[in-house]
Amino acid sequence: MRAPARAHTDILNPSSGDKIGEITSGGFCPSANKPFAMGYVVRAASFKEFIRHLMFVAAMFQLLSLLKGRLLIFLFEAKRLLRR
Amino acid sequence: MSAMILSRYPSYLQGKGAKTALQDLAPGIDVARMNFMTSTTGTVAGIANCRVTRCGYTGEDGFEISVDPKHAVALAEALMKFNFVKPAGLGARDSLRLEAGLCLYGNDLDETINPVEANLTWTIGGPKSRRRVEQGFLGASKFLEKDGKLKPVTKKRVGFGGTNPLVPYQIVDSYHLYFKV
Repeated sequence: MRAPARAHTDILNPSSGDKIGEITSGGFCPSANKPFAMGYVVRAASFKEFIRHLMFVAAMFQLLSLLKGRLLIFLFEAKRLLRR
Repeated sequence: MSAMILSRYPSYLQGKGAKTALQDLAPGIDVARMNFMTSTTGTVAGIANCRVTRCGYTGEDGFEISVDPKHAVALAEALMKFNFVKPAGLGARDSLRLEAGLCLYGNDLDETINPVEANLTWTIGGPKSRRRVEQGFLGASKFLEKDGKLKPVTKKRVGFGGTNPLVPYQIVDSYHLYFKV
């Protein structure tokens, strides 16, 4: 399914069907050729794994001296993960 | 006390060629020495008193150039003379800011969401940063403990990428459509 989840779409726990959050922005990601979205999910213990794995597509800033190297690494790592 | 509201028209020059185009139009500004999130004023395309800031809402390197509204068309025309500068509308910009994980106020942020929930605490630095130690800014007590630690929250802003094999969950929307994330 490539349809992007748009704002106000409910995020449900796939096993129980309970609402665990809501999409606030969503669309199609041209860089990764995939749908993508952001939203808020409840921060319950059972979702720790769920949250850790979700990343945004990298910002392609030409990062200048103001930003630290580790941020740069994180951003490019995120982009690589999403492109898999 | 009085305040004067200046009417300015912003143009957003974003992407890899932005610095080349701006340097050509604004020989008086040393573009190469402008760091991300710094700002200056100068003459751009012969228009005096332009406010130039190295920032943007696209996740790309670029500049925001504010001018008096009566010069806005002239500035846009000057920018469009470069064959590598193309016009882009709000929809395109929305895709770019989403890719970069940037929030849209009214969608992803509102007055009920604090910076911890929105994953925006990087804007005030780490646990030992001045802002977290001294605090004292409006709203600090809403999400910072006295010792600078972040207060616990019940929800978090996260990103969803379609068909990412690392995430073994589905997002199910309210119309029972679904896709793998």
